[in-house]
Amino acid sequence: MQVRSLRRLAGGASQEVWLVGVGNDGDGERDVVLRRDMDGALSTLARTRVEEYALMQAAHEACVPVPRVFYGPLRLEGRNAFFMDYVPGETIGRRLVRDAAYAQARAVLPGQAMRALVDLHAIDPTQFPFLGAPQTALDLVAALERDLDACGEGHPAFELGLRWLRAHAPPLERTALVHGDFRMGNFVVGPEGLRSILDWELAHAGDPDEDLGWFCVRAWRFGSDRLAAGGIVPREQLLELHRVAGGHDVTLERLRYWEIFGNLKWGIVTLSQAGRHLRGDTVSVELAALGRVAAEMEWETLHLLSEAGE
Amino acid sequence: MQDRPTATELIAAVKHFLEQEVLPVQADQRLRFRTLVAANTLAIVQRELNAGSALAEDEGQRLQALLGTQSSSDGDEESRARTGRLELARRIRQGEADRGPWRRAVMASTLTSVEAKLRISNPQFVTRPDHT
Repeated sequence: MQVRSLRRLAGGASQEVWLVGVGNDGDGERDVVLRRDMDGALSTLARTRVEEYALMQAAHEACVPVPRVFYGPLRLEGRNAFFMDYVPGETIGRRLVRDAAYAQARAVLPGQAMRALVDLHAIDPTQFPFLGAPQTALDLVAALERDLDACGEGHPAFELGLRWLRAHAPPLERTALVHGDFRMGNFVVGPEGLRSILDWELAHAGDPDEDLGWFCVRAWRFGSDRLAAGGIVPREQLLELHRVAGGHDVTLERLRYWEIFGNLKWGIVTLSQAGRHLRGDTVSVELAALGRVAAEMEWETLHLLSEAGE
Repeated sequence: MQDRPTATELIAAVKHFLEQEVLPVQADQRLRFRTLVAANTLAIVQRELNAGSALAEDEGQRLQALLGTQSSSDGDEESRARTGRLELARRIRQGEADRGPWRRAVMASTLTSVEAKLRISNPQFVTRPDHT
């Protein structure tokens, strides 16, 4: 087996993603993807490549559409890495919510995504010791507070959100493997619909409703803001599709809790990412620019809080 | 005092260079994305320079009204606003804005400050659609 080509792809902010063309003499070339750890964690919740490999393997066995991982996790130049199938298709959210070419995909994608979510939530998280104890809403809020404090700046809007999340934290009624980044932008989609779910680096054990709220965060509507769930369906319809797919009943109130949580989480991650640049850990205009994105989640948080009441 | 181009004119020149000369010949997707981010970042800086110090002054006054503190002459407007934000954040975390009239004042004032930030960072964002 030979490496014929190598191209760096846009990946997560805590890992490198490479498209590798491999082949034998006289054989055709095929593409595989190499994912490798990068210095600097996305947040205190980020998984390593070794852990991501185990999670994707389990997801594949549970018939969740994910790229097949292979060769086992390995070390490349001192960093954890693994190979997986290259799944061709569109991931760019802006195109998926808008382009006519994906009109048919949009019709089936929400139902397919909910089916996949119900299946992945059925994976027993206790088989992965590295996930640790299931995290309650209060655990997650405390972790966000620590990440916000590490930024060293005052963010009154996020503080208001954190107080509200503490006061309204739901009890952990069911424990599941939570994907942690289940949203438009992390789905590979073809004109016929969902092909694969990517980016398992924020997975943890906790409340499955967190994934539904995250799916509705405005940042993942890619400009199609009227349709709260991923820019493709209203919230009510998402919950109905979740129920039809065999999932438990989720109230709009519970969904709103996790949507507010999601705005806080993404907002504080953008600040942490800018911090990596500001400390000089990873100098990058992309990370620097994220610092100015946080205000969008502050605005959204304040409006969601106003709607929710004290 | 410097000769022209002014700071905003220099930024406009670099932004034009990135968008008109670098981007069209850039095939690498990651570099294309970063070039767009860089150009957008310069647009943010342009808007911020055009706004001058008024934004920090306004925020400082809102924070003073909210916190009941006297105007300090230490530091510039931006560092005073920063100190005020930290103090407001601390008081919110202690629960002082959980309910009541001060909560409403904090919510309103904070929204005004966030909107002022967004007029610099992403002016299109401050339109909330009717949700369905």
